[in-house]
Amino acid sequence: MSAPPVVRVNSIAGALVIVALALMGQLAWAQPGPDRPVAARQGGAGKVTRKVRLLPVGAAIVPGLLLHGAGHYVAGERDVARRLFVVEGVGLGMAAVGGTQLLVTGASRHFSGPPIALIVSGVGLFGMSWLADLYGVAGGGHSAEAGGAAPLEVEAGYGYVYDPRFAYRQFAVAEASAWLGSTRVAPSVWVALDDDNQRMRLEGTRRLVGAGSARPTGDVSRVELTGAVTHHRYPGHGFAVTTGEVMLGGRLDMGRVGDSLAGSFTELGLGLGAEVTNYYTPGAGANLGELLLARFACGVLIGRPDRVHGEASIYYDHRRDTFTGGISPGTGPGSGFAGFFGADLHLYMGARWGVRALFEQGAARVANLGLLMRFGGSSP
Amino acid sequence: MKGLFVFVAAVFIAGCVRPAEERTLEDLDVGIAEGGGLSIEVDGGAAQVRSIGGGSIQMWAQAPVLRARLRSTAEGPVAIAVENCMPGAELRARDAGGLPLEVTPRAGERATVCRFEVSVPAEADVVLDLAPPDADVIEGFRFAAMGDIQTALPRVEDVFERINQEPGIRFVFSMGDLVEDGRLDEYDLLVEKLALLDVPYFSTIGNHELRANLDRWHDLFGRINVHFTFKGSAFSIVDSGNASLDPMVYDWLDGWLDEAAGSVHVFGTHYPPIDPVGVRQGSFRSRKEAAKLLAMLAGGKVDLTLYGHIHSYYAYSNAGIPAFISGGGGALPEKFDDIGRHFLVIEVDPDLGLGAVGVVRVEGD
Repeated sequence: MSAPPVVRVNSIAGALVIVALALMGQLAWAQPGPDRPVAARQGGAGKVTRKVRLLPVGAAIVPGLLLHGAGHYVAGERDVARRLFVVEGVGLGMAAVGGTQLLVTGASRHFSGPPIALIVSGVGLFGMSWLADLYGVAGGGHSAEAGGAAPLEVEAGYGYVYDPRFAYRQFAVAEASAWLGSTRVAPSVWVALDDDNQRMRLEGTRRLVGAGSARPTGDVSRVELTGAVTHHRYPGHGFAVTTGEVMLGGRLDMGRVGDSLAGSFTELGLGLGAEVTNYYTPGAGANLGELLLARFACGVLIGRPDRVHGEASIYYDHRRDTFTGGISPGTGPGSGFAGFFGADLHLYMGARWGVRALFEQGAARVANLGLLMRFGGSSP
Repeated sequence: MKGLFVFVAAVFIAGCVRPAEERTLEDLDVGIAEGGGLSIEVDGGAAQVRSIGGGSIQMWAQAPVLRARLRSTAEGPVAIAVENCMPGAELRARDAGGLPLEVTPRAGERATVCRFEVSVPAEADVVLDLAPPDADVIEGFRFAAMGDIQTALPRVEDVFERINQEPGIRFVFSMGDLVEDGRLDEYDLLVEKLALLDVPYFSTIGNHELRANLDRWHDLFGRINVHFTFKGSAFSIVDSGNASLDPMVYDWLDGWLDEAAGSVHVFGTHYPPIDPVGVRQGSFRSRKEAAKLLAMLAGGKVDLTLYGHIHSYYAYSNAGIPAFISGGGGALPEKFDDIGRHFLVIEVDPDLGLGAVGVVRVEGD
């Protein structure tokens, strides 16, 4: 009996339903309320001044770790507290439904995609609602304003990958990002300086909702459809991998949830990919495989466009096919299910120059430090 | 920003790029022991020395054929007991000059317990060879393969009895997850159940052995990365309990692949490098590492790959090598697969290569 490694229709449908539900929820929630004008949420005109208060911060940790929104509740911001609590509940519910389905079916080959997508998304909502609570009572709601993306941005940088199973460590990194209307094209390449290893990726993103699209949101909220092709060569080890993928993702400006969360955002994305691994050994042929893409992130906007500005985010990515691979929580059990964690910082010193720093921890440790150059002013 | 840095620092500290390093290093100490005027060193760590001293040595074999070097401070008889041995195995002993020493076979409690008494000289190296009489005959044979007993350990005798009924099986090749939580009482029960088998059980660990008391595994069974050759066919079983192989294991595997060049070579580990159902990812934590391993196995002309972890049965091909997942030892089963508890029966022949791979279902579910 064989199980051909093909992308299953039920997996695709299930994942897309989850994405649609999650994004519909985010957007419905994100409709500007009459009491919170967009400008205030952007932090520009309606500047919010907040102080760190120890009691709410403490409450956001205990019992806030379990009861998300406890920090805001103690701070007297009951509406925000309720929303965060609801998000936590939804997240836990999604994870429980996915986990139950996985348990009941024994991770059946026929049904495993949708429940895993539910679990990852649910855990994402759970984590994001707690971080939002903490952010809001720990001096969040700052008056940062998003800077627009430049029509063309180029990065030249250095990458470091520590994976004791591979000889490479040092990489030259080049990336570019060009906006053509509401479509972004982003080629990137990582070339090892101390080994024979090259990773090339071409990413195309269509912004469906948000700044620069036909449906602007007036803040940093957005919905995007991304497709990408990646080719990664390991000649020294006798194989190369080509991956095609598509992902639907969204970003929610958390200022829409409450003034205390202004200047922060959350992201959620789900998708599917297919990869072909070509082995160079004669007779070894190729293997076709599929992969589930799931990612969530929390971030903050930094500064103002006319000064030092940018954004920083922390994220979880469920994929296992990058340099980083999946994390091992330690020497004990638990490896193999999770993807990796990362942190990404884009910081611009004015309109032209910027820096990018990225750290990821999974099966490997990956770091990237790059110099950013922007051309053509500001667009989406 | 402070929070961001704290998060990054926490993730970096918590994340482990080489989680199996310590236990892999422990493999190097297996088979080496001394006490009570005796010392022994088993080649390749192919047996765990459970006790030594008082004129006797007790071991657990992790390979069908053992070679060891014994030394005693006093002349006289040494009682040697090897559990998990090949039924009918014979012990030969030679002194440093190659002259045979007197070996008296003793009755074992069951087919897989081999007992001998060896007359050894004082302060002289003695070479011991334990093997079944046909070990050097290059010919085909059959073995069983299985994985993932876990919560079904209390009723695994159904599976073992069925293996005992299968004609011509020489040993069981196991892909790990023999216990659910690694509790000491589970290990006690496991030892009791393994005693029901008429053939030895050679195994690596899975992710469930990592839950607790991994030292117990080393104490009882020895190495978690095992390689041996039997009747002209090579077998490698390696630890992927963290969904990855330790870099040291890649070095060992490199040597084992070279050593087995031209032979039939069977490779086994707990996690499949790549899950045939990609979105599920019950596989290695890095797809690049998975591809590296498979490319290595393909380059080393491995004939068969065997995996566990997924509690079902899959037959497919990875890097052109026939691959089977057999996680039918009884742990929480994958549903809607129409398989249930099972094990594999595999025929190998050094001249003809890989023979038939059959699935034997075990009733009683």
